[in-house]
Amino acid sequence: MSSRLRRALAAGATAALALGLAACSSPSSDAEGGSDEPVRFGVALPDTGNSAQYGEYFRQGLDLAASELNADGGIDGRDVELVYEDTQADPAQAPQVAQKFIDDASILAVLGDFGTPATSAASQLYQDAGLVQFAFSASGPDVTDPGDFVFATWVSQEFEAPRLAEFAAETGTDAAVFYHDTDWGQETYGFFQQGEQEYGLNEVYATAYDPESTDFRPLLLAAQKTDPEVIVLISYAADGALITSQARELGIDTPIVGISSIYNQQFIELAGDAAEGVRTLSYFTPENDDPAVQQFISDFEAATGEPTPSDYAIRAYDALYAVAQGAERADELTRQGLRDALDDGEPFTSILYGEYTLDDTRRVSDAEQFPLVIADGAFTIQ
Amino acid sequence: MDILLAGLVGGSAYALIAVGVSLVFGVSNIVNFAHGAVFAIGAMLSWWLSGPAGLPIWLVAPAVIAITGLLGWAVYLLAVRPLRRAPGIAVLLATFAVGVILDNLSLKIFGAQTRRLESAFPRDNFELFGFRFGTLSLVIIGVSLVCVAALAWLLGRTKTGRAIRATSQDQEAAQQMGIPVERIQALSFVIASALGGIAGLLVGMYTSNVSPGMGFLAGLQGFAAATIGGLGSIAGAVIGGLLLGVAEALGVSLWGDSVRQLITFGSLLLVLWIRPGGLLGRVPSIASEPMTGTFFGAGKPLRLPPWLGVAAAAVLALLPLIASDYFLRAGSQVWIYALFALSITLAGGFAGQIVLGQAGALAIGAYTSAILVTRYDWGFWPSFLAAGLAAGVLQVILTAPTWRLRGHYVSMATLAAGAFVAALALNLPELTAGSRGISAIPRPELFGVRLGSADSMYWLTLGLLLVGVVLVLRLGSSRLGRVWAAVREDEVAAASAGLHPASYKSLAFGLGSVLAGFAGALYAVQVTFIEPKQFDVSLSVLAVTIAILGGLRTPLGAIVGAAVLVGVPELFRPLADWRLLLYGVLLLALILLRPQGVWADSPWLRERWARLRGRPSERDPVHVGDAAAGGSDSAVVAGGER
Repeated sequence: MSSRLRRALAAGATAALALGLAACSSPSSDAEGGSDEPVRFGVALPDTGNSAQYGEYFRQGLDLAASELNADGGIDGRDVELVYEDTQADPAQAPQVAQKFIDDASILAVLGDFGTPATSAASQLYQDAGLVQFAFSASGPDVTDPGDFVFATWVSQEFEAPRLAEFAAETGTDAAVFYHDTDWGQETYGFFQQGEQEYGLNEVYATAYDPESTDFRPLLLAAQKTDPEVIVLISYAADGALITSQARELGIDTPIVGISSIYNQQFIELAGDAAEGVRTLSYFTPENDDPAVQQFISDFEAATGEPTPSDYAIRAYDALYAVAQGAERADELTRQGLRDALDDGEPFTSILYGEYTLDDTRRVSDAEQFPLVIADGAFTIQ
Repeated sequence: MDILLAGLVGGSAYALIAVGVSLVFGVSNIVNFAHGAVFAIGAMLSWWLSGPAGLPIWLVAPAVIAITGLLGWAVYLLAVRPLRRAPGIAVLLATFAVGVILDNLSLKIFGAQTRRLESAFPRDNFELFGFRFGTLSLVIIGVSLVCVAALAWLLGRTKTGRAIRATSQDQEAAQQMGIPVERIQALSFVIASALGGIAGLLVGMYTSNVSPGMGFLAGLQGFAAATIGGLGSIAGAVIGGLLLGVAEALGVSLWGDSVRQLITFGSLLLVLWIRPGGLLGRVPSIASEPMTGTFFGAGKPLRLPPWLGVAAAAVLALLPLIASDYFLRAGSQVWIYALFALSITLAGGFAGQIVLGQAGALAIGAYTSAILVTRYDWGFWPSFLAAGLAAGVLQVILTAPTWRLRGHYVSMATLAAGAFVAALALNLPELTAGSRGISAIPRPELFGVRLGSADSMYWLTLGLLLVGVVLVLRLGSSRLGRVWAAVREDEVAAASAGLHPASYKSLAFGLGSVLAGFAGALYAVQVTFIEPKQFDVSLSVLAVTIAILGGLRTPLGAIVGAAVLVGVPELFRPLADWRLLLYGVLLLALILLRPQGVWADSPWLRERWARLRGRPSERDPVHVGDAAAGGSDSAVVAGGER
C-alpha cells in the first residue's frame, strides 16, 4: 500500500469521526410506545428557504390541532407529539429527513411535505420502510403511486384544473394563461388544457413563469397584445398577487380568475386594491355556516391572532385530525396498524372538505368548491 | 416600444444594485456576495418601518440608509478586515457566509412571509407609447444617475476620492503614501451597502412585494450587470443594468419567463469571453492579482502516520455494520460531495484556478446519467462513464475562451458558465423535462444486485470516492502535476519556460469536471429526482468552500471539508429553523480561523502543541508561505482577544 493511499484512508477516518459525532448527537428514542408514552408523528416541512412561509402555515394548523387533541385526552389517553424536520421543501433534502423518521421507531406516521417534488422524492423510502407518508400539500396526479403507505388529501389537479377552465369560460372566451414553471404548474396546466377543449375556452396566450420572478410587466404586455377576455392564474398567492397588481398598474383591466391556491388572505394584502374583482374557486370559505367551520375560525384566531386561516393551515390541521382518527380506529397502534386503519374506507371529518373518504388510490377523489370573488378586501361567495 | 420601456425601468433596478457591487470591487478588488442580502434587508426594513412601525416615508429612507450603512461596516469588520492578508477567494467565501447569516437573520426577524411594500410615489401616473409607468420609475432612474454623478464628483474632485482611486489602483503603494487604506475600504462598504439599502427600498416599492429570500438572485443579477458594464466602473454598472433589463424584457416577452436567467448568465458569459473588462471597464491586466496566490503554500497538507490510515480505512468500511440507516445515507451524501469537491482540488489546488461553476458539471453529469438510464435503458455503469465524459467535454468547451484570464475573472467566467448550464437545463424541456425534472431515477446495479439500501449506497459512494482520491493523488505527484504547480506558482515564468498555461489550466479544469460529472451521476441515483433548481450557484460555492476549508492542496481536504460542511448541517437538524443561521456562522468562523484549510499545517497550533508537551517547537525550514500564514493567523487571534 502506497503512503499516499494510506494518507487518503487516514483522512477518511477523521471524516468518519465527524460523522460519528453527528450521529450520536441526534436524539432518537427507540422505545416502543408504552401506554403513557406520547404518540409521535413526524412532520417534514420547509422552515427555511424560499418556501418557508408555507412551513409557518403548516405549523399554525398542526400546533392548533395537536393542542386541541391533547386537551381532549389525546389518542387512547396518550398525548400527541409532533416532531418537525426542516427540508426546505428541497427534493435533495427530503430523503435524508425521511430516513431519519424511518430510523426513529417511535414515529408512527409522517405528515408533509410542501409541494409534489419534495414529497415524491421521499415516497419510495417511506414505502419501502413501511411508514405512512400522509401528504396533505401535494397535488400531483401520481403522488400516491409509490405504494400503499402513501396517502394524499389534495384533490388531484386532474379534477381541479378542468373545473378552473369551466369557471374561467363563464367570464370570457379568449384566455391568457399564466402558470408556474414548476412540476406543479406544468402538470396543472396540462389538465387545464384538457378542460379548455371541453368547455370551449380559447387560449390566445399562455406562458410559464418562475414563481420567484418579480417583474412580470414584459409578459403582461405581450399577453395584452392578444386581447384576452380573461386572465387565468395558475399561481400561488404571492406571485399571483404580484401579477394582478402589475397588470392593473399597466392599465390592463381584463378580469382575472385564479386557481384555488391563491385563496389566501395574503393575496389581498399583497395585491391591495388591484385584488378587487379577482375570482377563484375554493374548498374553504369563512362564510360556510357549518358550526364546526365557524368554531374552527374562532379557535384559529384565538390561537394565532389571524382572523382568516390560510388554505395551507387548514389542510395541515385536517391532516393531523385524519391521522389521529385513523389512530383511534387502529386495532393496534403500530405503523402497519395505522396504515390499515387509514385505508379502511371509513369516512374522516375535516374543515376543508366536510366529511370525506379516501378512494382506492388513497386520495380524496373530489370535493365541492365554492366560487368566490374578492370584494371590499375579502373573499366572498359570488 | 412599450416592452423596451418596461426593460429600461426594470433594468434601472438592476443598475441600482450593480452600482454597489461595482463600487466595492473598484475600491477593494472584492466580489461582495453579501450585497444581495443587504439589499433584501433594506427592502424588509423598509416594509417593517413603514408598515408595523408606522414611520413616515421621509423618516424611513434615512433610517434604511443608516442601518444598511452600518450593516456594510459590520460586513467589512467581520468578513473583510480580518482577511486582508488572506487570498481573494477567502474574502469572497467570507462575504458569502455573511450573506447566508444575514438572509437567515432577516428570516428570523421579519418572518418568512412575502409582504407588500407600499410605494411612496405613484406607480402608474404616466403613459408613453402605450406603456404606463409612474413617478417611482423616474425616481429609481434618477437615483441611479445621481449616484453616478455624486460618485464621479467624490472620486474626481475630493481628497477622499483621490485616496479611493489610489487604493483601487495599488493598495500597497497607497498605504505607503500614507493613505488610510483600511478606512477607505470600510467607507466603500458603507457607501455601497447604503446604496444597497436604498435599492431595496426603491426596487421593493417598484415590485411591491418583498420577502427575506429575495436577495440572492437579485445580488447575482446585479453582479452580472456590473460585470457586463465593467466591474469598478460606476457608469458601467448603470449601463450594464439598463442593457440587461432591456435584453431580459425583450427575451422574456418573446420566449417566456424561463429564458430570463439564460439571458442574464449567457450575456455575462459572452461579455467575459469577448471583452472581459466589460463595456466600460479596463481589460484586466495580466498582472492582476491571482485568487489563490502563493499564500496557499501555507496550506501545506498534514501528514499522518501510515498505521492510522489503515485503521481509518477499516473503520470507514465497517461502519455500516453498526451505524443507523440515517447515518449511512448522510454518509453517502458526504462522499458524493467530497468527490464533487475533488474537482475543485484539481483545478484550484493543483492549477491554482478558483472555479465557481462546478454545479454546472454536476448538473451535466446528473442529467446525462439520468436521461440515459431512464429514457434509453442504459445500465448505470455506462451512463456513469458517459456522465463524466459529457461533463468534462461540455465544461471545457463552455469555458475555452476563459483561460487566458486570471484571478477573479476566471472565477466569474466559470460562475457564469455553471449558472448558464442550469438555465439551459430549464430551457431544453425536450431533453431534460425542464422544470418538471426527472423523477424515479433507478438505483444502480452491481453484478446484478440492486444497490438501493442505505449500506450499499454507502459502500458504493465510498469506494468510488477512494478511487477518485487515489487518482487525484497520483496526478498531483506526476509530471503533469508538477507542470500545474509551475503554472500555479508563476504563470509568466511557466510560459517563458515553454509551457502553454491556458491549455494546462483548461486540462486541470476538464479533468476536474470529469470527476464532478461522476459525482453528478451518483447524486442522481442518491436523490432519485433532479430538477434544474438543484444546481444553482450556491451549490458551486459549496464545492469551493468544501475544497478550500478542507485544504485545497490535498484530496484529503475535500473529504474533511465535505464531512464538516455537509455532515455538520445534518448535525444541526434538531435546531430546526436556526440551522442555516448557525451553518453560516460556522462557515464564517472556519474561514476566519483557518483560511488555509482544516487539513493543513498550522504553525501556530504546532507550536502550542509542542509547548504543551514541554518541547521546543521543531519547525520545518521556513517557507515564505508559512510565514505569511503565521502572520494572518496571529492577526486573527489578536483580533479575537481584543
